[in-house]
Amino acid sequence: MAEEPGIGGGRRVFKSLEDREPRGARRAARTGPRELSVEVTLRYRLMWGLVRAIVRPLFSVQAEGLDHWPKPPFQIVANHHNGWDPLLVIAAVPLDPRITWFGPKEADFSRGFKNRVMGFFGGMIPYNPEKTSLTSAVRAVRRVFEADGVLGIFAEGRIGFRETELQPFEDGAAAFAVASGVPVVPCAIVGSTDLWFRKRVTVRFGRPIATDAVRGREARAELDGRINAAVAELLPTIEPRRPRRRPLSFLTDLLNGADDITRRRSER
Amino acid sequence: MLPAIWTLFAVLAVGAFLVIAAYWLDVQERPDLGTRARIGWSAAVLLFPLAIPAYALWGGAGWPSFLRAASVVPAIALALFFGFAFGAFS
Repeated sequence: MAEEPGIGGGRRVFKSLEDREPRGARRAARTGPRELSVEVTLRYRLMWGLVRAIVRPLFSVQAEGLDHWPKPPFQIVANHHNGWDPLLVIAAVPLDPRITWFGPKEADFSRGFKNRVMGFFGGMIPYNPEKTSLTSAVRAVRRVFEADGVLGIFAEGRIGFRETELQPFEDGAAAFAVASGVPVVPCAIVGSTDLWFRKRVTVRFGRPIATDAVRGREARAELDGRINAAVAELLPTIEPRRPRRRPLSFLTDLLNGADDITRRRSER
Repeated sequence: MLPAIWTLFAVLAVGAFLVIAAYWLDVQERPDLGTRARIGWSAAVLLFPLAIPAYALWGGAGWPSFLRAASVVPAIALALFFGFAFGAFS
């Protein structure tokens, strides 16, 4: 990790997760995210502005509970209904503090249009289920927290198709926060299961959950349950009715992966 | 005057591509559209300056007013293009 203490008024900035390993560094530079910084850089400003310019006219995005955010570092744990979700969160939250996302499940940012765009803007920790261990993921995430960053994670790991339900959380949702002792802010993205033009989407943040006193496997499992319950509490209790007219309903699957689209069609 | 018209054309041309893409994808995904209607509206993309406003206004798409207004953008962009081609603005 190449730390540049002089940049960004005291906060540490690191360019790439792969900087520590000289072997394969050239390939990492080509395939990894260009920038992994918790600073509000010019590139991030551009991305934030672009995302808002695209998302806000398309959907009616509302943020609730932003006043619950503690001082960074902290971790946001959100539900996941759609490939638009990270963009909806970015469109709902302020520019500063910058959110670093854990995921996507891709390590190679040199393939595919979506990956290339994500690689250019950076600000994410790629996760490859076959190569990344929990230990190495915790190490990468710890660097974000050490730099007073905010980590965003979709704890379900895969997309769910019901507004009122959460899928079981994957390992790591609580582990990351516990390992660094940072608070967890539960977040529910309500309304992104089905999207259409000017659909109302609400990004709700709950009260932060402290993790600094959590020790041991049982306490961590209990914390996992508390985070799950806190996110579930922010979800609606009744499945919303879909109106007959849903202009530009293709937006629902526009950013979903092929496997998610297939799963959605088979589950409905 | 000409630079202003060129700028307008450039903006409308980009908008036209977006509207055509939105029209095409909406036709493919609309749940209440039968197979014949879907094929018909899909083929009609060849006549996009007329087909898109027709779809938006009378095709039962349920587009809100902003999109109904945007549906004429491809027609205006094409008109400007032919205006340039035939020297109407020189």
